[in-house]
Amino acid sequence: MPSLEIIKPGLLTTIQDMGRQGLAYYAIPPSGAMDRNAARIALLLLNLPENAPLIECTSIAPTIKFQDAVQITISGADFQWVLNDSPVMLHTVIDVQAGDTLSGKMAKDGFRAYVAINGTLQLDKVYNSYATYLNAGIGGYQGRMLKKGDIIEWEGQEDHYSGTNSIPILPGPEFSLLSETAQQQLRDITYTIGSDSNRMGLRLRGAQLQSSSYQLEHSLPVLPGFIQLPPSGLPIVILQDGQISGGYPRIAYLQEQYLAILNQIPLGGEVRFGLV
Amino acid sequence: MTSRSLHLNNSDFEVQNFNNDFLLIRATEEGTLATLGKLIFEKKFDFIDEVIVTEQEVCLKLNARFNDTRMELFSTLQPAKQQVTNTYRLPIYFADHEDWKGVTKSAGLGKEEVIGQILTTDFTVAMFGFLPGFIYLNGLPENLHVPRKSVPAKYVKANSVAIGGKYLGLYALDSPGGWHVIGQVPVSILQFPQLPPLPLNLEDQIKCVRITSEEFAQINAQQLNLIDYNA
Repeated sequence: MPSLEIIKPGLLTTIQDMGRQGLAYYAIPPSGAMDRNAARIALLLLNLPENAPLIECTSIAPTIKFQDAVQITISGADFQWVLNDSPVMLHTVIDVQAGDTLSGKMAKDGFRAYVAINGTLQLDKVYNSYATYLNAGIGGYQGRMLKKGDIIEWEGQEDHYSGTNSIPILPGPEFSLLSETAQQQLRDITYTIGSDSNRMGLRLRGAQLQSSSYQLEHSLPVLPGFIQLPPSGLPIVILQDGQISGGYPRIAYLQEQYLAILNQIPLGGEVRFGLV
Repeated sequence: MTSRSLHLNNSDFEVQNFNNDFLLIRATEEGTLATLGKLIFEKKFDFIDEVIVTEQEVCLKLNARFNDTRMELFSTLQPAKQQVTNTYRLPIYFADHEDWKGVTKSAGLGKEEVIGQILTTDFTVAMFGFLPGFIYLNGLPENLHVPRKSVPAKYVKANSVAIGGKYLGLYALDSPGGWHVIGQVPVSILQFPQLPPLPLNLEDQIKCVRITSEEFAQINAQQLNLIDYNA
């Protein structure tokens, strides 16, 4: 699994997220990013969920060695960051190569910075949050601040800014209506975005999918991201202005965060779906 | 996807959880689902972002605050008192529309016979859905159940009455649509920005009334809504 290693920990470097809410009743504080806006910016630039974990740096920058290539973003105070020896900018997607080292100096114009990594960090939630709560020794990375030699692993995220637009999909309520062949096809299938698409829905052009039925007896609920299969055998993806019910089988769906990627593909562009 | 059963207010429900993204709830007996959906919607649970109620399924869009144990909160829901139902007349001009071909062919009847059957049917508001103001009406005679189109039409005019499967429906907005259009209504049922955006309730009764093209133009010019028309 891809990973990074902490070479120097900086002054106070921890894993944080948006914190744990509603536990003050049990005298558990929220913890979480000290500058939530900056943390959100770093995450959103990578199209990560707002509640994903990231690294919070305080006053003095850590030195981080990336064992594997990955995209990162940095936000918050300016720690005069350099990747190997080249200065890197805040608020941009940075392509880190395997073996690169990120380091910095003292914080300028502020006190805290955030480093987000484009992957699913292999950490466990405590009380539904990744936030490190130092006093109790819970959350984040073993409940403590990061120190020399710590290794943080992540599971890769598809690189959606270059090459094919790949989007994971999940079986929908009527997935079982699909023929076995169609179920296999969905494991890796590329469609073209039809020019008759709009804010309600994307009409996909490409392979027709076989189903034992293309009409449901009743109109059933659909949400943005649901994939319907009308009798033409060509799927439709419901989007932000989409209907809330419909009578075509709901063969699959994509999770909300992937709508942003899908909606950036121009008409005539290609999207690759992979059933997980 | 995981399934579990739920017992609430002497009714049994089946709940499917799709990866904590959304829940689908189905009732094991008729008539209990809409009530449950309404109670959940009105309770405004913090772990639910959207509630969609249809005749056969309730869909709950979940957020990160959800976990399986939160479902136990459904047992705190108390049934509301029975609602009064109203009866409304829905004026329809059965204009010539290309979709009539599919309807008469599927039904094996002429246009006049189809209209006759619709005018003598008592319809019930089964659900709201699709787009704002779209009404699904139950009661359509079985021989008039026409499957939805293979390729949905890109444009259906606002206030079109159409047949889709077992339902008679009303499109309140211009939209794409897969149903077969058989007529036009001269009154609007939408009342933006009020909530709910239309004056009907589930189980309200609808009686279709035939009007001529002249009457259509006349009522249309008065810009009445459904309530004014029925007053």
